[in-house]
Amino acid sequence: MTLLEFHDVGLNIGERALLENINLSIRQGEFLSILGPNGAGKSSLMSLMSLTWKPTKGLLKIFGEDAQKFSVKQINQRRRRIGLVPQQVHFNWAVPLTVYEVVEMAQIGMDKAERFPKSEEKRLIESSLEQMGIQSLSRRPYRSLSGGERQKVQLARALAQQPEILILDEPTAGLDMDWQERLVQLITNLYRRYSLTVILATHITGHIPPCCSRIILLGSGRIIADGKPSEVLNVKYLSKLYNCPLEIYERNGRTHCIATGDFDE
Amino acid sequence: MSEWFGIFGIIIAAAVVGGGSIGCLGAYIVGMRIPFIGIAISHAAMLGSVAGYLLHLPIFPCALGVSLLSAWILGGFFSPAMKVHSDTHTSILFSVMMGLVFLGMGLMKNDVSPLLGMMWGNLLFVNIKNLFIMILLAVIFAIVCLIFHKELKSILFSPDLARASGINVGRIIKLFLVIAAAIIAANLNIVGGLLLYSLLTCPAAAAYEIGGNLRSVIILSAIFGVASAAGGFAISYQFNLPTGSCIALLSAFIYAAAHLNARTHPGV
Repeated sequence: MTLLEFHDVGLNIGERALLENINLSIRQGEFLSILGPNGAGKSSLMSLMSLTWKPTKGLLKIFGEDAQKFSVKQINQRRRRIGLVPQQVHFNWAVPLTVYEVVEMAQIGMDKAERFPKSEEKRLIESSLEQMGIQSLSRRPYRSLSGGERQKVQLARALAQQPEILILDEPTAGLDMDWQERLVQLITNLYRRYSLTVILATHITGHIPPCCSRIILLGSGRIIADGKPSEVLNVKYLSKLYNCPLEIYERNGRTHCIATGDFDE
Repeated sequence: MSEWFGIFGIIIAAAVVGGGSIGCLGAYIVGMRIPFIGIAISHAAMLGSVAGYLLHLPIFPCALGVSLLSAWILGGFFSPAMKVHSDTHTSILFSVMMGLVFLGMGLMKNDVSPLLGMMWGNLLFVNIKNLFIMILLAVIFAIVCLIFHKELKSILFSPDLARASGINVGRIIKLFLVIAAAIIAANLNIVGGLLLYSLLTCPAAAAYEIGGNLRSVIILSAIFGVASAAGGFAISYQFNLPTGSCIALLSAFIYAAAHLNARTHPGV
């Protein structure tokens, strides 16, 4: 079953094209990684997928329906089926919400008729916190957490939405190596445990877990390559994508990439 | 004696209801980081009053109508797709309202003291009808806050996350602003359009300085609002000073005390 379809999709802000001629379809159960340098358009593509923005060109189908024709109510209903973990959460420091309250936000957007009974809502939230290993933080103020802990809370919030698609926009950005590894492991475990469709945006090849079934290379708002990891993670494509000479090596099923610094004069 | 108690009973009740509802409203407005919206809406209410006065129409319905209209317009600007921040739109609306208020006052040939009362405020202007409207709006506001408590909490924390969770942020903000506009219009008599801003911001800011969670922030904000309005009136009555000024200064003093307390007892 196809969940997301892009047909010649483009996104412009004023005269500037952020995305051009995007043709892509994402099937249920896929683990898709979108790899590209900074400014490649990864976050813009994620914004279209999560219905934050609408395309300015082409046809975007979400759950088989034309996203351009969605009303505000329909957009909100579809958003609840998509768990989004943004690159950075801009939150109000002055509002002292606890970790539990932040995760609870996942249940609030539901229509009254769709809502679970209170006990079920509580169970879902607690289960999401448990999946992320952060039950002990549930009463802590969100603002007192470290960057890695906050990302775990955001994953728990997205999970508590019981999404069909999980969109992760550079979830490891700004974290130290230990936290980066822990999050990659967590994402892998989540994908394996639930029948989720995962879309992960990153600019670091080493953050793509071995369970990833497909990779899209995105450069300057266009798809450069689309295929299995073994087909696209090679020196030819990656050096073109990052516009620098590089070497790659494999470890534990993951492909790591190092810029060699041997630039042509 | 009973008449004295009757008049002062209404004034004290107005101070408690007005201070409490505006204080509580301020907790949301300050939390949403849109304090300027309060002053824009209060000036819209003043414009409605001026228009009502010039056109010989009932003043309160006119004040209410224009403030509701301004809230509806401002609610439309709370979208992530807007190129200009909502504060800028609020400033534009504020300057238009202010310009029209002074233009209208310039056109008046009669006694403008009731309108000056709306500008500077005076609890002595409050009558039983005003008090009834204030109570009614405070009850409606409390009901809406209870029904949409979790949605409002999410929007206060992060509108982006609220949207991502499927909350209809635009609709809730519009509903909130419309109720805010009605409360502001109904409370214009207490502190006046110019100083209402202080009652909207200072008690809430003080509550955010010392409140441990959102529930305590909202309750503290309402308490500080009541203390500012009732205390300000008592000071103004005792020393024969302008009521609006006393309320504004007392609310600022409460904020300063809360801020100093937070500085000396820092916590997460």
